[in-house]
Amino acid sequence: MILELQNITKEITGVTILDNISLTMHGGKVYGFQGKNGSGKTMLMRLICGLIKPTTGQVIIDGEVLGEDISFPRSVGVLIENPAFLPEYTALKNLRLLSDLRENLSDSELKAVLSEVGLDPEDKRKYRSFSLGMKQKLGIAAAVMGNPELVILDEPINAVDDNGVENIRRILARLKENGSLIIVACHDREELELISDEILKIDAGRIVS
Amino acid sequence: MKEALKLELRRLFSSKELYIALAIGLTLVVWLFVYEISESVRLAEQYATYGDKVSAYLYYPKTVFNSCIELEYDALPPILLYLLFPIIAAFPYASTYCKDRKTGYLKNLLIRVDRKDCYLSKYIVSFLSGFLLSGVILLSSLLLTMLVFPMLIPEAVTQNYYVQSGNMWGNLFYTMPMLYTLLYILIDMLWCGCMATFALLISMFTRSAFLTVTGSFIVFEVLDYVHSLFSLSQFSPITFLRPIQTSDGISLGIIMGEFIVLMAASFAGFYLLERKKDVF
Repeated sequence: MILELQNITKEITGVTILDNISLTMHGGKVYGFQGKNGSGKTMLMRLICGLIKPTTGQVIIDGEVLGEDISFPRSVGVLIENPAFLPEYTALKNLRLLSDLRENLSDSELKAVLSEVGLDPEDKRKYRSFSLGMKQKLGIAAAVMGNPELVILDEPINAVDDNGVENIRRILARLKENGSLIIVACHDREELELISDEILKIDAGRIVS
Repeated sequence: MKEALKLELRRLFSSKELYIALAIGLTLVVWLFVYEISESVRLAEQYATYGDKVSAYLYYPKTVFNSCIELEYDALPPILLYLLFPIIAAFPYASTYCKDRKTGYLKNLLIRVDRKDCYLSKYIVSFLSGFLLSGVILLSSLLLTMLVFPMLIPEAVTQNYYVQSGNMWGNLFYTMPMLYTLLYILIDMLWCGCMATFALLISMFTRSAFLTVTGSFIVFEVLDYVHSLFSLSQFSPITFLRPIQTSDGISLGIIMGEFIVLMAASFAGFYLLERKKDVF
């Protein structure tokens, strides 16, 4: 997979959030986005998955222009900000509903991904009664199920225990080996350096290094 | 599209809001049913007591066509039902869009299904929620009444019926009352679907489920008030949706014309404009 950002600028009510960003990213690598709050990391992630449109510039994924040829990347897993699921369903049922929309995974595959993030696939508790860490793990599971070619994770280790963090590292390594392009934003600098092949510093909507 | 529609329908039928709205509607239906039976008993007792000493209307029995919730005039349940229809229609589903935006669930959908399919399926399911829910409530009343009351062809001279022969389809009511009732139920179902999509339109401007549901109610009530202020009640949905037609001048042209305008407005607002907006 090749992801190209060409002269991306995003303005919201006259304020420039992303300022002329050009970047090319390749599959099989983990890119770490580093920056202060409000630097534009999350906005850039939203833009890459087609949730917002650039004011100027283009996002091109494997030769297809986002917003013109495709409305979202063909194979993408996303966890941006807080995980969000239907409160009245279990973890497995929530994944089943989402998987039916695109991935069409079997029950055993869904249970495997739940186990991989450290959740019990047979847990009958509903999402509304999950702890913060469990919600985060389910968010990771939804983002990585079906081994998407593009994985975007915003603060993936938020509220996750040490074992959970270890699981996430293992999952990212596996996806990277499969050739996925992974983008991670994280406030924990050490963690980001540990999992990333390349770190991109973002400041005031610009990539500074 | 099929997958998105399936997911939204599954959400509708598993939502507790649907069953709460249904319970409210059916409570009004049963309330009216009990009231109508007690009224019938009272009339029978009057007949047993006074015989032919009082005027003729006393002896005319209650029938399906003045006892079901659509065609009863005096009792409180039909007044409440038609007043609350904008809330009942919007309650089961219309607020899911603002909830999805608020929680972020919309992002899960938009990275898996095309935007057009996502928004269109929400619009369709919203319409269906109001359409089906009102249908179940109104048909339940009709069927429940048919279990007990006779289906006499209405006679205008008895003054026991509230539809006037000069009203829209008035002749139909006095010749084929069941057809009249079913056609009017269909109109009400279409309009409740429309009210639900209107609430969806309101949800574009708020992240509050409460405001989404009550907003539609408030708009229809204000419209009703303004119409009555200028003696134009025949143009108010709250008025023309009651099959007993409480205002003169109601016509199919008004009912369907307003329906088309409102559906077009909610479709244009929600499907054509909202889906192009950024999702944060």
